[in-house]
Amino acid sequence: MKKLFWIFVTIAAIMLISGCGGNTAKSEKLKAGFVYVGPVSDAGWTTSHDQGRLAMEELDFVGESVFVESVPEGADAVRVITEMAESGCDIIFTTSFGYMDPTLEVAKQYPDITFLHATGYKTDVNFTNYMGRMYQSKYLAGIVAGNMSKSGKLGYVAPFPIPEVVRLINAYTLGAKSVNPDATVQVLWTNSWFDPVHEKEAANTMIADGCDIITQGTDSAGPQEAAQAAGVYSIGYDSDMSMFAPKAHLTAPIWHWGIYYKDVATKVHEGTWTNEPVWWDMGTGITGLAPYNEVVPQEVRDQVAEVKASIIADDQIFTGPLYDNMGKKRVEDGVALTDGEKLSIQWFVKGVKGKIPEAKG
Amino acid sequence: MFKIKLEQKERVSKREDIIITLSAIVIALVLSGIFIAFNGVNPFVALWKVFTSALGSPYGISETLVKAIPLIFTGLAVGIALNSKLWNIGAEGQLFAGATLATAFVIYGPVLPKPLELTVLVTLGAIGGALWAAIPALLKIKFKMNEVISTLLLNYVAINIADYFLFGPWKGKDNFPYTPEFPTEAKLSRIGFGRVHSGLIIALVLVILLYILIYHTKAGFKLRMTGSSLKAAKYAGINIKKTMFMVFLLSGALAGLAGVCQITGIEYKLHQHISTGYGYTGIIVAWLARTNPFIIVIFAVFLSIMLKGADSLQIAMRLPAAVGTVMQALILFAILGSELFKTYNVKLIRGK
Amino acid sequence: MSEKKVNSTLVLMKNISKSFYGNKVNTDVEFKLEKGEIHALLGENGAGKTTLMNMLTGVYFPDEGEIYFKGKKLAFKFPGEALQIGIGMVHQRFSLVGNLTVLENLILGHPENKFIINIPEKKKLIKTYMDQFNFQIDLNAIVGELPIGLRQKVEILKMLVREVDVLIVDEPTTVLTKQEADNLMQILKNIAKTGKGIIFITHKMSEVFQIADKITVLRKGIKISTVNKNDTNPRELAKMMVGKESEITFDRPKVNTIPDVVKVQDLFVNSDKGVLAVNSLSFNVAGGEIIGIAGVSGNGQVELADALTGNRDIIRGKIFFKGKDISNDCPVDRIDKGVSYVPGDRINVGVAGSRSVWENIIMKVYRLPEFKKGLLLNNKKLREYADKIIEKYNISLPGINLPALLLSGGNLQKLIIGREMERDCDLYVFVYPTRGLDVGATDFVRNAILQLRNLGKAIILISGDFDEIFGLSDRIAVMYEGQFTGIFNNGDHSLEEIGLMMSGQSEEEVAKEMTNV
Repeated sequence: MKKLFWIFVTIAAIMLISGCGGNTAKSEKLKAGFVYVGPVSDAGWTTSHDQGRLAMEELDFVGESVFVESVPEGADAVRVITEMAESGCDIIFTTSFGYMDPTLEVAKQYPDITFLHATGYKTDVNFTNYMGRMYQSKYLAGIVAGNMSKSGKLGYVAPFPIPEVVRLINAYTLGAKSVNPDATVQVLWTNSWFDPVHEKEAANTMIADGCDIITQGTDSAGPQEAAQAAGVYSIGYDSDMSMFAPKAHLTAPIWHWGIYYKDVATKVHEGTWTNEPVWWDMGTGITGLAPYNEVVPQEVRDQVAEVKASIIADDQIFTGPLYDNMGKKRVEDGVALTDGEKLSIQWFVKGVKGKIPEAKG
Repeated sequence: MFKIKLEQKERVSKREDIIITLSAIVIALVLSGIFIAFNGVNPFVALWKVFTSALGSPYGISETLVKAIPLIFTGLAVGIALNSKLWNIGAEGQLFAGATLATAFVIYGPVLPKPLELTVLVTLGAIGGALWAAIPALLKIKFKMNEVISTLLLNYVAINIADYFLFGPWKGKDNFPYTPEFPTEAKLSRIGFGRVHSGLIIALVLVILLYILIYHTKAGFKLRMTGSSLKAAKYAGINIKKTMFMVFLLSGALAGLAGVCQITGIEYKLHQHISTGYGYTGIIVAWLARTNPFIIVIFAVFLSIMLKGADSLQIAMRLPAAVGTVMQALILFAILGSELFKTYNVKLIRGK
Repeated sequence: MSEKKVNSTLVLMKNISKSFYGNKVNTDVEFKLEKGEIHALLGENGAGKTTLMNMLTGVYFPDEGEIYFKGKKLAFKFPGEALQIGIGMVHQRFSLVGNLTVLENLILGHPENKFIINIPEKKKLIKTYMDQFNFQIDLNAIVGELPIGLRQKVEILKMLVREVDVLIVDEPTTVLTKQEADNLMQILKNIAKTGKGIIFITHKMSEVFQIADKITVLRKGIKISTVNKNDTNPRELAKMMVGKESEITFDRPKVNTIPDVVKVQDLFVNSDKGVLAVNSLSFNVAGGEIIGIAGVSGNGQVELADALTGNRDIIRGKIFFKGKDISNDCPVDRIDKGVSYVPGDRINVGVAGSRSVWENIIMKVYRLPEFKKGLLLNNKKLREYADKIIEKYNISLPGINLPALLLSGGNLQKLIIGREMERDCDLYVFVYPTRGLDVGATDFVRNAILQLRNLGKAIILISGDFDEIFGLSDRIAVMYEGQFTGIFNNGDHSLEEIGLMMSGQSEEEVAKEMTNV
């Protein structure tokens, strides 16, 4: 026992000599903090934000940026955001819906810091929410899927039946149906943002059921790998997932958060930032499609480019007539859903095979 | 070549026991330090940061206590079961069961005056947890089903039931999976120290009550006997099935209290993230504390420091989140490994 | 035959000694097995039979002595080696995989198995063995679903497939019906005819004469004798098994007895395995009387004691205690009514080993009103009570808070007996009360038992120690396979006669046997 003790003491001493101290130099430059819901990995939602963070760091007036990954969406988030505020951040980005109230709570304590929350809807003097119109890129992905599918049966591995997810499923379906009116989208819920095994299983179930293109609203590469293994096509999400399924991966609607993060940093730096909520168009470049797989024919690429231009000019994706998947007419001819309606949408368009649990009352 | 020779130890004195446990923690911290050093950070600075962030300021201490509250409850829940040699791996599910039942009252029941409302909610939380624990208890007693498996699997069921309500009947006006914020009557008061709420007082009172129950009552004596030897307990005239059943109910009730104190004390609503694995961390707490309620409080705070510290390390040292998980795992392994030194004299002998 | 005479010895064990924790289990034992021989190893439980065989199969190493197999000295490196060179043992606990079929079990782990197993070929080989020795087993049956008798045959067949030269079977008939046992013996005889040697471990006299060619008797780890079956008789063997009559005498004054404190009527009790352990037993015990129950262990004695004290459910029958039916009372009711039990398994049943000494002393009295303090227990008073007992019964220990399992065997038994005596019961059931104790503690226990008898208590004394049975009992019952082969006043039968009853002969048969000689 004694010998062991001394071995450890020696190791500790070596560590003391060789270890490097923390860098606590204070500068005039902006310091940004990011709160992530998942781990920074190779693909997915958190990765797309981290790529944005790194892009923002390139700005010469941004000094450093810190992040905390895998932060639980509850009371713990308040503590993490507070510590981040205390550590001297000038801007704090919180990147999951569950951080909305915690961020607001901390924002009230630190009026000199700018807080930005992705996917929510609340605002305050120094707090606002930001999002990109991902549904536009999902619509484009739907066009690719509608063209490439032989069976017309598309599979969608979905996390939770919340409005954001429902909206994206709807846009994808509408895109697919715009080129193949008979196309259907099968939805399977995993009730988790990140669960590779479960997501893979869901994908395999749908492949066995005849779906020949798999896409996802979840964060892991599981569905992509399932498609690759089964020899069907897939469409990624959040970030380019082609490295997980080089043969199957046709494209992916992805985020380019860096464009927004640079913009916010610049405005805060210049003092022109306002708490106006942000829901940026595809035209800003905040969303888009990942590079195509070589099997996607030029005609399809051309068609997507054409639709993209028209959406940027005039977004008519959620313009009537729109029927829900029970056959009920939800949107009259020529009428467009308002942003408010889009943000709280809780019904599936015609062509989606799936159910959303009912609310009380 | 060296050989390791193990010799059964006659007995371990209290002092030796404590020294070995503390050494294990020190060794775990040193190993964590090595891991941290590999990440290019001075381990002493990092470990110092872990403890100062938790205990170096009133804010840090208050936050450490906030996180320790559910861990005290789940630690007690697992600990009381361990006292009678039952493994309750289901504290996580019982926590959700308690929270869900209490939330049902908030949503469907009348709003009562604050003391009454909170009494009802806390009681329902305990009942919810106890009912959920009654399932594996009956399975064990009637069908001899291993409680480790049944309690573990029922966690998923309980969480899915909560999910059903969150995504269905109880979802918010914005269609997101959380209930509306509870009325003031259903919020536990804060005790005037950061976010620390009166759940801490409930927890500490329970610690004392449980200590009395275990060591100063007939029921506690039965529990201790059952935990030491089923055959001897039966021989002494104790109804071991009834004892095991009651222990399960009590254990579940404690875990249910963890849940209800989370929703009424800090979250103020039911959502999917009211527990960050407190039911599972409670197992570590109980194991480290060796079932003594007072020591459970110490280790609940210790684990809270570690969990919190991992987040602080990310902000201050830019270490990945995995460092925190690795540190916890190392501590658990070191303590489990130290069992060897408590049961055996370990000798290194020079072999051929 | 004659030309191979020189090599006919399969196993030779010379001067084997083995001790565990300072207890000699085998002392200077010699054992020899010839080809084609069935050699019975006879002795009571704990006589060292299994340990001796475990050394032959490499599970243990002898402290002293040498083992030769086919003339070569054995030095095992790992436990599986014995089977590879041709020594196989069928244990009392089978080593089959319940979820697999018979065929799979037979093939599993065979040393000649390659990565790909030629199953049809193996099956053919197995079939030849089955035909040769008249095994009737469905190879595709799942082992776990087979009756226990067949499972045992699979074990034996497995050894044959491994082509062992020496087959050791450890008390193979304990779990079998009479018919199954007869069938098994026939198979073993056939196997022996092919030149293999068989060692048959048993404590049943009838089997010895049914099957063995030679018999080696062990007692307390010492080889008493090796004899040919034809040169001996049950009486002689019984004498070798149980030893000499004791010279120790105890003072048993005449006391006024209280009739029928305990009445047992037609009692049936199952063992843990669900096998009938107590089979239609009826007897009475008077207050002031010690009834000693002798028998080879495993014949239902412990189950009987458990059933009397409420620690085991009964299947049928009635137990009356002081005139009241207590057959279905739970343990706590019997404790309250005055039934006391000193179990044979002291460390697991008699005390909760990891709990402290004082908790173990008060484990049956803590419920009494005198130890209540409001809603709580009066721990102070309970500790005082424990202190009192420690002093009164002279239990030496370093501290009252020490876990009970750290006490020496003698002090532990003093603790248990002190605890029980202090409760002043009317029935005391003792199971192996002096097993493993030193002389001083043994004296203490025996005096305590006598003292209780002299106080007019009804006492059931289950023991394997004849000094104890003869020295203490007023009446003696001999238990064999869940029944009494005899119940008589102490002094009516000699030790030799009791030995025969322990091997399954009834009192009448024994009387006949004795007159024949």
